[in-house]
Amino acid sequence: MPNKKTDQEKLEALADAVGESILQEIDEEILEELRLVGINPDAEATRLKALMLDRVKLFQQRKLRAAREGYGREIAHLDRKSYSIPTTAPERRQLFSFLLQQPRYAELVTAQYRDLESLTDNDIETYLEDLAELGVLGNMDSDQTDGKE
Amino acid sequence: MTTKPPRRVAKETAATPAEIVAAINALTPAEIGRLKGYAQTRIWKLGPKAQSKTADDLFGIAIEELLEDTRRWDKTKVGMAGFLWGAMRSISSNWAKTYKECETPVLEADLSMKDGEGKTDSNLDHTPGKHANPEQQIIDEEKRRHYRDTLDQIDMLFKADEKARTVLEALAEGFDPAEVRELCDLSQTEYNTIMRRIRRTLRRAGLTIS
Repeated sequence: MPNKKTDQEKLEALADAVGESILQEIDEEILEELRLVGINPDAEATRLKALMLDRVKLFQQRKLRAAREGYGREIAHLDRKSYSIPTTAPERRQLFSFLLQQPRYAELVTAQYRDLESLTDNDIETYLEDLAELGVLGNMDSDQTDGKE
Repeated sequence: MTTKPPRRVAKETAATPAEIVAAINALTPAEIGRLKGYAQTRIWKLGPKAQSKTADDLFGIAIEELLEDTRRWDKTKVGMAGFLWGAMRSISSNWAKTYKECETPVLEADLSMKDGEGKTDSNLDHTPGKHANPEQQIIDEEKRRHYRDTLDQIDMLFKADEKARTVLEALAEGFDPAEVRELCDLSQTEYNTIMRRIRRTLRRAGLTIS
């Protein structure tokens, strides 16, 4: 025998029982109960589906916006980065040549880049930027990155 | 010491957004109607604790929590309707647990009334000083009145329906459906018929509609 209940507990027990009875109910009865209170079951299903699908859309838009913001931050971060790359082409070529002579850095450079003579100034600048991105130039003394040995 | 296995659905079996969309679209009007009815009884159960939240909110939040991975749906075990039902039950239970009565704003105007001479008199002035929070006492009193009034209203609705009243009384006292059937000497079909009548009457009276 259950204990004596407060009004709140009684009402909560009733709500639970009514809720459970709805879950056990057959489809036809559920649809009829909606119609009896003036609700068109099809229209109501469409409305609630739209409500749920809107949440999915909002979530996806939020995710996309966050990804775009993250990408924008990354680009801004890259733009802000200043590399210690020499300002003139001969100095850059000299620095690149120096790097090729260092075994620990040479392995980072592909075979085609080891033929210094065939590289344009632009190739060298791009490669130095890539190495700077990898943090290689940051590990070197400033006089070395100035293109001075 | 024993360790309980984690109840969380493994990420690889959890549904993707595309699967969620497809499952929502596949829900039938009867499934949605059933879920809506269930959501309304959850809001009804919360009473003042619902704090203006509706059955529609339960649908929206259940989907939001699924997408945000706060909740996972193992599509290999239950359908979308089963997931929504479980999520609504859990979300509304959490609302009840986290409801902080002191956070419910009570305007001074709600606590004040004019006496016979037109002088404004605050209810706060009449609350016993011994108790911690006079505002809280008024909120508690309003809640008590809400539950009492609703039960009285239900009594009135079923005044002429003795069978329904007996079932309601037994359910309110905490007997489960099987016990109620035994206690009231009802077959499953008779019990189902009475429950339908109860639901329809409560709905028509606007009691279970949020």
